[in-house]
Amino acid sequence: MRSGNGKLIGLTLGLLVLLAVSFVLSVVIGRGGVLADLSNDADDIARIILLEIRLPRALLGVIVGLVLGIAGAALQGLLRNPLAEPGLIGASSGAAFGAVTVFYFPAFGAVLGGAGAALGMAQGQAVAIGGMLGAVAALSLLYLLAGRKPNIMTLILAGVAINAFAGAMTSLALNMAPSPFAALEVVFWMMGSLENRSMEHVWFVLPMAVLGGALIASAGRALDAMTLGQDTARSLGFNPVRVTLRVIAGTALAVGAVVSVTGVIGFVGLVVPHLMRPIVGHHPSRLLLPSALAGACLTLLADIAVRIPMHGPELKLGVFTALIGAPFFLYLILKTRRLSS
Amino acid sequence: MTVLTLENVGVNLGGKPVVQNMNLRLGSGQVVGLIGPNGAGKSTLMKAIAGVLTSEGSIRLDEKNVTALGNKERARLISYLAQEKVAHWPLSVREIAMLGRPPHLATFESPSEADMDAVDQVLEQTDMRALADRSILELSGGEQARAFLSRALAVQAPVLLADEPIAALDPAHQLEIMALLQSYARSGALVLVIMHDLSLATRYCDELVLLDKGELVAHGEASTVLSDRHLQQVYGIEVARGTKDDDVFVVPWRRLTD
Repeated sequence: MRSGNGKLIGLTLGLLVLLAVSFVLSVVIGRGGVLADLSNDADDIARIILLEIRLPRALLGVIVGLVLGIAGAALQGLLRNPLAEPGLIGASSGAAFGAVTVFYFPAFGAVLGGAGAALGMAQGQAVAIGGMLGAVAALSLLYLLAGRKPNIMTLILAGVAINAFAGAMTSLALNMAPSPFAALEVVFWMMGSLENRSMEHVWFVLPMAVLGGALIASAGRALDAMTLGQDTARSLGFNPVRVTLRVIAGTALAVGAVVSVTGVIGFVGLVVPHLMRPIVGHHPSRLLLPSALAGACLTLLADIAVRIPMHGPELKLGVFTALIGAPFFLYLILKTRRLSS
Repeated sequence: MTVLTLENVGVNLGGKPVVQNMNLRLGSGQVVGLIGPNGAGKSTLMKAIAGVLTSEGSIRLDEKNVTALGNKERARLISYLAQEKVAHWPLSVREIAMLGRPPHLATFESPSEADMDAVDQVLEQTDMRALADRSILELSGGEQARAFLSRALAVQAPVLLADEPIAALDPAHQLEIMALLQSYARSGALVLVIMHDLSLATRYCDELVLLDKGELVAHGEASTVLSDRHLQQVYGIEVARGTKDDDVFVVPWRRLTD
């Protein structure tokens, strides 16, 4: 087809099938045994494991992957940088710092928990609310630092600075930890995991993921136009400043919400758009949907992989994605270097 | 006939007036060359007409106030080929040309058959059909210029603004691009083109607009705009003149020193 839509539709359908299969596997496979083993147990135990442990975990995996994938693709398009990902502009580290603050200041956590309860949220959401506030604060700061007419280099540099600062503040909190156990709790949380999450977490993340994802998706065509430079984009009826704000706000909401609940799951947003480009091309808008779906597949499959060893401590999802992602990142750098020479 | 009217148009950049008191009336169906030395305000004026920069005064297309139009409606009426011709991702020529269609599409609307036909037609005109699926980064300078021009033509706007479309091209490609712009103008559009080559300006432009230090110096046919007095005053040069096929051409000859 002239527009290449056939390939895009085929890929989308293929990814939807893979996502459905991954989702089913994620619900079926687990340390409590596969579905067949569970059916021998008393009915209510099996029901609890499936509906209250594995289903929320799988749903959260889908949402986290969708968000990281779409945000990664959009940020690479916006910053015109193949190495961009939500972590680069401070969304993840801001959320992590916000969450850690709640761990360390129980009074602050109580206030956030109270506020959440007043808004109808379930108990125990203080960490998530803190993370969300951290992400929004980090990206608001990014926007302020980058100025009223943000250019790409300032955005990246400001993101690096915010990342470093949020990281330093998190380290400070760990340094001042009242006990080694408290520090350990935070360290484990920050590694990123879908383990032991409930439907309350899903409901917390869902609206912000949908809103943030929609904001990002609505910027797709403008990102295409910005490929030809800001002046051309403007002449085509897009406002690059508003587009930048939309992508950053969407990332703050969506990525902030997922990191607040799962901890930092790195590299998914970085890797997935690169896996999709050889199939759908480099158009930023055409990458958004496939990257979101592939992000969800990758996250679910990685989360299944960490559950496969039946003994010993479960590998954290964030650790596993970093183990796959970091070598890929290195490969990208080498490939970019080869192309530029 | 469509008429682009500028009344007292001024543009300030960083608090400094870069273009001022610009009054022009340009009719469709012709190529108008916007000429003047570096820093004369040509690109700034063009950006103001394209809506890329904000301006004072009034810019009208027939009776429509261009500055008051919505972004999308303005984009459908005025197409702009920027001086900076870049693609930050290795898009194909067809994908680049398709980027001329968003002004005709709603936010989540996919390009229709009509949009694809429009792009095919433009690629035919610019002789880029054979290269349509090649990445822009693999092409020569001349091919890239035609690809970016395809994008600007694909808007199918009644006004086309082109900022130095032939800079850095060899003579054969310069002639080719100018002929393309001329044929687009003959199809009923107004083509305003910034250029430095005075001989090609006399050869292809129906009218010339000469700017200097942000102000209009002369507007009209090449023979009156490129007078010895204007050229001395604005460029500080002396030119040689000649004729070929009954067309007059002008070649910069020597720099005048005072």
